[in-house]
Amino acid sequence: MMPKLLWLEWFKLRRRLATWGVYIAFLTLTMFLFGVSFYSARHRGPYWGFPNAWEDILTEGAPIASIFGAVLVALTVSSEFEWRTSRQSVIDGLSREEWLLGKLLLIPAICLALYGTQIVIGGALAFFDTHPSHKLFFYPAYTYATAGLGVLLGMLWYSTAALLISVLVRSAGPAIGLTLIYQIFDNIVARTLRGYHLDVIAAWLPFQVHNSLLEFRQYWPHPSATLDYRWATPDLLMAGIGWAMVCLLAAGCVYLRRDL
Amino acid sequence: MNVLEVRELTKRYGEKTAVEDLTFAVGKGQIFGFLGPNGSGKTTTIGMIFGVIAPTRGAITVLGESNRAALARGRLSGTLEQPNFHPYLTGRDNLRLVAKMKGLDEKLIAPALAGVDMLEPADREVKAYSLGMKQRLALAAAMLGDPEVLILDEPTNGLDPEGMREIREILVLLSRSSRTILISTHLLDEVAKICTHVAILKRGRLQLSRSVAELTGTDVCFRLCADDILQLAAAVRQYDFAKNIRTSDDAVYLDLTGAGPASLNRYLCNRGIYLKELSSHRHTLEEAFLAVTAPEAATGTRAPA
Repeated sequence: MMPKLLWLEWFKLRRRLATWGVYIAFLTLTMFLFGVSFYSARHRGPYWGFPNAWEDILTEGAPIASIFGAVLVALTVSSEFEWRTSRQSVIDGLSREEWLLGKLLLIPAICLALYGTQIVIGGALAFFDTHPSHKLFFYPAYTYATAGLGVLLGMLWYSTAALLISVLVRSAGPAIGLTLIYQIFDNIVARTLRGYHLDVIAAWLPFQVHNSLLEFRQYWPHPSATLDYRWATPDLLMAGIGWAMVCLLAAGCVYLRRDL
Repeated sequence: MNVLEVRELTKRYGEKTAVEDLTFAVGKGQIFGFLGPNGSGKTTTIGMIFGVIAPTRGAITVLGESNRAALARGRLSGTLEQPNFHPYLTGRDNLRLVAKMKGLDEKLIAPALAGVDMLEPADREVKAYSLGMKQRLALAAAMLGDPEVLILDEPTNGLDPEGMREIREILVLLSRSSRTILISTHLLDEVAKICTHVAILKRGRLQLSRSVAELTGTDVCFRLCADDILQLAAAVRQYDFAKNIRTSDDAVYLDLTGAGPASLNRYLCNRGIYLKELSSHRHTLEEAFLAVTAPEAATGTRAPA
């Protein structure tokens, strides 16, 4: 069943010009971002090679990957409601649960593809600037692995939020718009809460958790005084998983209960 | 043997009732016309049969199993409202998706396209298709896997006369096979040409369900004309054997049961009413449809079109 659903989603995704338009825009921004890091390090130093470039490779472009991932999910899912192909898929023999599962499989695939692209581009540039004589400070491998996992989790949450918005509004333009605008809304609420010294509550808001997941300092093996509210790494990962589950469950309930 | 059974089907949207206590059955091999004015609940009913609209109450059985099971096993297929395709994919690629969803071999796509005369434009994007081409592609998609029950919602909707003729020809071809077909349409002429049975809905309620032959083949309607139509209408209302009386600007229509036209003429002459015309014709499906769907149907004051 899962290979069939993945085949269907991949077939629809790769044949769509808009998919490649979004991907090329993402690629351009990513190359620009890492290109600037690479270029400025070459001319002004310190050098941008392994191992110290890992921090940038893993998290510097992550907000871009997260946003583009969510946009792709919103575009893909909501279009199926606009064209009523979601409804037709059920008439053609897919159950509602299978249709939804297809979209759930699509989310990690998109996140992995975009994040993988960033790691490949950043890694390639860093490789060119790596020299054995360069010895700078670097973290334990566990820190990098946790950061990579955390970023992926943050991307997954934002994409599941896009899925929820898409099954709610069922229209591509408004779904993409709301997915992007949600960041502003979340940030305003967080800022208001912080104004009332409710930092701990603000830190738990979904997009604030997302931002923390994309922040390399959250994975430092030693405490930091630079962050307003520092999460213990396991707590942060659990919060990310929790919000992703909330969005998935809500999207499932909305999709399965509403008429198509 | 009934292949489709709908029992006490009800759909409510808050206070509004779209379909109420709908019960009907479609027998094996029937071409079943599902008729009703706009907003009568046809599409809602078909949506519930397809499992994309959740009924408030009631049960649907297709080929002895649930509608979801029949859909999953490819025994039931069809279209709902307008043809629904991925516009950026070609017609052939859309059918590849359908074949994959139905678990069918892609070799079946070419014959399905040929069956609706869509082989030539099959490699163009669907967004470039005319509505008629999309309707034909939707028929090809529905026919993939040769489902035993086919439900087509307004297959000629929005088509020009040429497009309607093309779809009708395909439906006539389909009707010669042994499969069961349910067609929802406004076009009574189409239904009269190809359907064996009809059900008529009005405001979500079933008004009648019977064979086309029963509706059009036995009863005879009479048209009467006289100088004073109002006097004529008043007189025939008092005639015991006149039923289903309908009036228009220049004529009175009625059914006669238990008496012949000569007796009616004699009755009217005795009342000083001399007819200018007394003609008979068989009921058409359109008359039956209007008789049960017109707001005035119950009072018997509306003439056939």
